[in-house]
Amino acid sequence: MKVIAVVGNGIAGSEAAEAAIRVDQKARVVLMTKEPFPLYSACVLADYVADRIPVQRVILRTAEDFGKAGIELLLSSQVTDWSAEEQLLHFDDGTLRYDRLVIATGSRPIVPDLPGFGKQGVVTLKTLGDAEMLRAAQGSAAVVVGTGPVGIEAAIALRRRGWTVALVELLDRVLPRLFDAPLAAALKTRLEDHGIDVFLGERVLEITGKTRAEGVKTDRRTLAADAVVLVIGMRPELSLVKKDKVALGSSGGIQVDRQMKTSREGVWACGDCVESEDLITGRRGLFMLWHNARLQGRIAGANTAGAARRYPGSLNLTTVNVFDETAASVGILASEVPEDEAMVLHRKGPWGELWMVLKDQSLIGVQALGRTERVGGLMGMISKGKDLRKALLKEPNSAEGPGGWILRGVQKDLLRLIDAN
Amino acid sequence: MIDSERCIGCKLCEVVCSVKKERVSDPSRSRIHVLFWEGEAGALPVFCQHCEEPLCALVCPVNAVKREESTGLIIPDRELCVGCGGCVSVCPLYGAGFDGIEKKALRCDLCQGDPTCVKYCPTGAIRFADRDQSQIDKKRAAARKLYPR
Repeated sequence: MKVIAVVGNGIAGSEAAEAAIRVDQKARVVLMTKEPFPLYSACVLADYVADRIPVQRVILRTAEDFGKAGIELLLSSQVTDWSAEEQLLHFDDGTLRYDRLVIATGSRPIVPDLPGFGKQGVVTLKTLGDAEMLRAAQGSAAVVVGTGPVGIEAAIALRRRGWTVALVELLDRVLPRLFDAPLAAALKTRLEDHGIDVFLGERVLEITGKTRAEGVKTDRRTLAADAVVLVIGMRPELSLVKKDKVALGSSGGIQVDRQMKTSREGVWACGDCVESEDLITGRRGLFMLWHNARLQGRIAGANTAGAARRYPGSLNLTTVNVFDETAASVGILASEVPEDEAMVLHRKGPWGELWMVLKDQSLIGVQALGRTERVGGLMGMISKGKDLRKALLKEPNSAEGPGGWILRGVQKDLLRLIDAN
Repeated sequence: MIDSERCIGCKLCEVVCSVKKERVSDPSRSRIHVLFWEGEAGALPVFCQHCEEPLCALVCPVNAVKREESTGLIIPDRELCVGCGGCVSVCPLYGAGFDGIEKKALRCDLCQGDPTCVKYCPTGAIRFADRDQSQIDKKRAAARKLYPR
């Protein structure tokens, strides 16, 4: 009987285990996690911290669900070592010999080399355990370091719990990897309207206090802090693969081919820990998003059991909620391109705002505030070198998707912008 | 089934959908939307196509979007849905609806086989047809474009 071991019970590992058993009902599928919980959604932890959902809606599978599916679930089972040649996983209380392995260890928060970061009251927001800690935290003033989606959501959650919250960001705008300045500014205003202080272009130097955090010292000011949330980014969790057991890509993620196979025979990888290719732009990198992990997991799992499915690529599309406002982004930002090379079409409507980032005659990115349908709707129009004039000037036909129609909805400004270049 | 050449952009479909499904006239809570051709007389109604490999189901952070066994339709589970709007952002067909007040994802569910928008569309731009017949109709339409009589 083939033994398929899956390390990690995030969405990637969970999908991998379920896909493996679906393809080969006779396989012994062992799914292991170092955490005491089965699959939960890391994406809604902030909603749980804010008390908007109970923990039952954060946890997506029970041990019973996995049992019914024929999957052996090992909770609180950290893999202490991996003997790759012998195909052995080591635990505190034994070993497991596998025939096929899926590495789905996910990502870990980047913890800066800061004086004071080991103090009590300093947390990250990655795991359900972190969320419980934040919920139980005592105090009134919180400082959140980092304004990526997790940082923004953490700040909002704590504000909803009644804390005084300050956000500190190194770069010149919030959510700098998702939005250009105009949309970022709108979101900053929303945050401030709800009583969250936002400090941009500031670097955190130290967390002050004795054994407990008392404050955060930046290069401009000192902020009182009973809780400090460090959310400056994520890196692939690679402690299992040290000593070059599998090849890594230049972004730091595990290198995998289209079938999610690593450089080592019999070993697949999926989720936040892998490097993948952006479906739309072709860039290789880390695209640590739920939907990418989910699809990669499904493909890796099926392939361990004998299938030959191929991953089409990662979708770099993110949606963020700032209090009651929604914003989304796909593709490349104007600020990622030399200044005179990108043009931005901005349109405001009763439904919200849209920014289309153009380069030469092509669409390279879309951002939206309010109703975000146009982001996904225009995905198909973002393709290397696709000439938008051609898309606009031909007669609409019923076989054409909404992408062409969304372009037609802004065609006057769009044609003017393209022609001006 | 959509015939975009017949759509006059009246948006009655949006109004009646929200009235039927949400019991209030609020196009923002409609499950069908109309896209406009700026400066020209053209419009396209869009709604969920219940894709075989739905991107919205993949994106949902609480796995709330599933295919209903009896109908084959893609339906978000209202109780599980946390209203993040991820499905709205990702749908490549402008097909997801959203209740911005209750923060819940919405999908056209064909009104149990008797769609309200079809009943009210003044030009017949939206029709409800058996799937196999609609495939034949689409092929005929494509053929006529290529080989006009």
